Amino acid sequence: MARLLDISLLAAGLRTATPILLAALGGLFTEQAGVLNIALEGIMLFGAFAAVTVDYFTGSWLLGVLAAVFMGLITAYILAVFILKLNATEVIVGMGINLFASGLTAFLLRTMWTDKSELAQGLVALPRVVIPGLAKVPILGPLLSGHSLLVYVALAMVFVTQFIIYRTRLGLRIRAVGKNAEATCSVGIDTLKLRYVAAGLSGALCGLAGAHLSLGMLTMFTDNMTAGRGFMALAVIYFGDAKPYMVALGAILFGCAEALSMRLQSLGLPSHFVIMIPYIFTVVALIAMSINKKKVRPAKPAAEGVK
Amino acid sequence: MRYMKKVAAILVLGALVLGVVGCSNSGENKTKSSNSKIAYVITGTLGDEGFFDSGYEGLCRAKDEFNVQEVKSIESFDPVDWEPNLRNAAQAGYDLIFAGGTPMKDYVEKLAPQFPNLHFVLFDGKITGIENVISVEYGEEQGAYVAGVLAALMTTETDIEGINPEKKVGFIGGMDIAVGQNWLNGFKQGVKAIDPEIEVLSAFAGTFGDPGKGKELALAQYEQGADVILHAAGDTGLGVLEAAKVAGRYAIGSDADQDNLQPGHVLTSIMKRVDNSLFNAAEMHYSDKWEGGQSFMYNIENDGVVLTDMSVIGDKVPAEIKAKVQSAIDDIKSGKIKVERIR
Repeated sequence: MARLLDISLLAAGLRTATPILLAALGGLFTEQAGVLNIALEGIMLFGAFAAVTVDYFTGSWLLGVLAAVFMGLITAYILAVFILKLNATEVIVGMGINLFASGLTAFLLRTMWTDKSELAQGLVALPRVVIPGLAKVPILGPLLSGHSLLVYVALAMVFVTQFIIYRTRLGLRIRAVGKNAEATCSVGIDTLKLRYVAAGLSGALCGLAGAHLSLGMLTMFTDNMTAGRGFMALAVIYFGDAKPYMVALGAILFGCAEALSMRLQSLGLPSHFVIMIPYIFTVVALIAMSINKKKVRPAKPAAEGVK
Repeated sequence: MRYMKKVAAILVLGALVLGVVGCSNSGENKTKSSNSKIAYVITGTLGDEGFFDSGYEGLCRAKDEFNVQEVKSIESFDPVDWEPNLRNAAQAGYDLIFAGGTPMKDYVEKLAPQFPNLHFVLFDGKITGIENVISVEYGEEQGAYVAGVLAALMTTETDIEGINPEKKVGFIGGMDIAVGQNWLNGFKQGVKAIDPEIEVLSAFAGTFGDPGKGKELALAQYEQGADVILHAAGDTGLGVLEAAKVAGRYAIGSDADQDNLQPGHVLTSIMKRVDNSLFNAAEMHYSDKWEGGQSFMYNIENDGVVLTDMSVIGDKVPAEIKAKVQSAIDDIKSGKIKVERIR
């Protein structure tokens, strides 16, 4: 039991949370702008694949990460064109991109590398960051030092996202367009352009999440390696009501629940039960949030329901 | 010019597609069966570098050997497709049909009597008593037993780099299903045979497709004191192997030769020779020695389940441990050791 609830649990929780956190921070931009983006999963997968490909052929993790961000931008742009310009249904386009990503990356993986060990040996992983002074501090050292680079980037992005959403003109406008697009349009703001920007930001961050998965958390690419993390990110966005701090809290709580469930199996609890824990936790948290929301929210905002 | 580009793009894509699919053809005529066609209906896809790829390789060998006209793979992960795929293959003129993945059992049992002129081979499962069906099973528990012996011997050798004093080893499976439990049970038997005090930490990821989760599960077990982990978890297991490298410990691979994926940290890999088993079944069909209604077990005893030669890990595994592992294999072959099978 002593081994169960120690600092390594929190460190593992943080590692597990990072890809979900990055994708959720991305998705909250589109959520705030009033665009339903369920393609987080597919964009992440494209990002992960782009990162691995460019890293393998250039030998540079930095170029790999940039490629993932670029790939995320392109995919999100395609999503945005379909939804905003061609008026396609958000769910269908999102599902389409998810399926396309899973099929195309699996196909390309097989054509580009016939031997998996070739790929495994040829990849340069993201550097691990050992914080000089902190590494030796008892509790904080093992918790915060020695993680892969993008773990720190993800934590920093929480504050950057909070700043953009609540302290910049862009953030104000993104929130405005999400609350009431017509009112925003009526004061001379280009709502379409804003939504493209929001989609782009979500794509870039999802690409980053993918790069973390394939070059930070792991150093490989396998079929569908995102394994539902994009959808967890979506759940976390709703959990946190698309507010950066709450989203970060949700992602880290989920990560820790997952890390705890991994350790519980070694105690002999049945795996079917243990695997359920993070998801039960998610459902309970969502219920708690919505009860709380009903109590706190005073009246409906004036603009709601006005067409 | 733009038109040319389009044509070029289509040609390149076509070449890519052809590059992936299809047996290479040596084109020599050896026997009479040139109008025979084989269907390979599976509950997954090719490209897994393990179970299904290995089986396909065996059929490609059979194609050359017996001058088969065509080997067609019909692949789907979706349970809804499995029965229609099998039925279509039976109706489309294939005379020898391989149906793979344990879930195919029910459909073979149902469809084979409806097509008495065709021969069916079920692999990994057991069907007896239907004249046009033979079935192939794999004794992974014996491979897991040997892995358990190896892991148990390693965890007590504290002189070896990366081995801690704690008597703990680990197992990580994919989904918690019968075949996974059989792996785990075999592994435990092997460990206990060496030292009953050694604790076996075990976990199932709940999926065969999440290496990220496999890695975290493995890191958790390494933190809890395990120093050797056996995985039987498909792609999830690739994360286990990577965790071995990160933690500076050891892992044992499965399904394919994974020794080269994380050299120096993968002790050996337990492989099912699906290729040989399916080749043998094809041989029965083409040499008119069809033993319908029979089930065939492939395991350590008949080299249907094998270990790699441990040349990649080299001297990190001491010679006396290698010798003891070999003697465990010999004892299983001679029947001195019986490994319990639970599926």
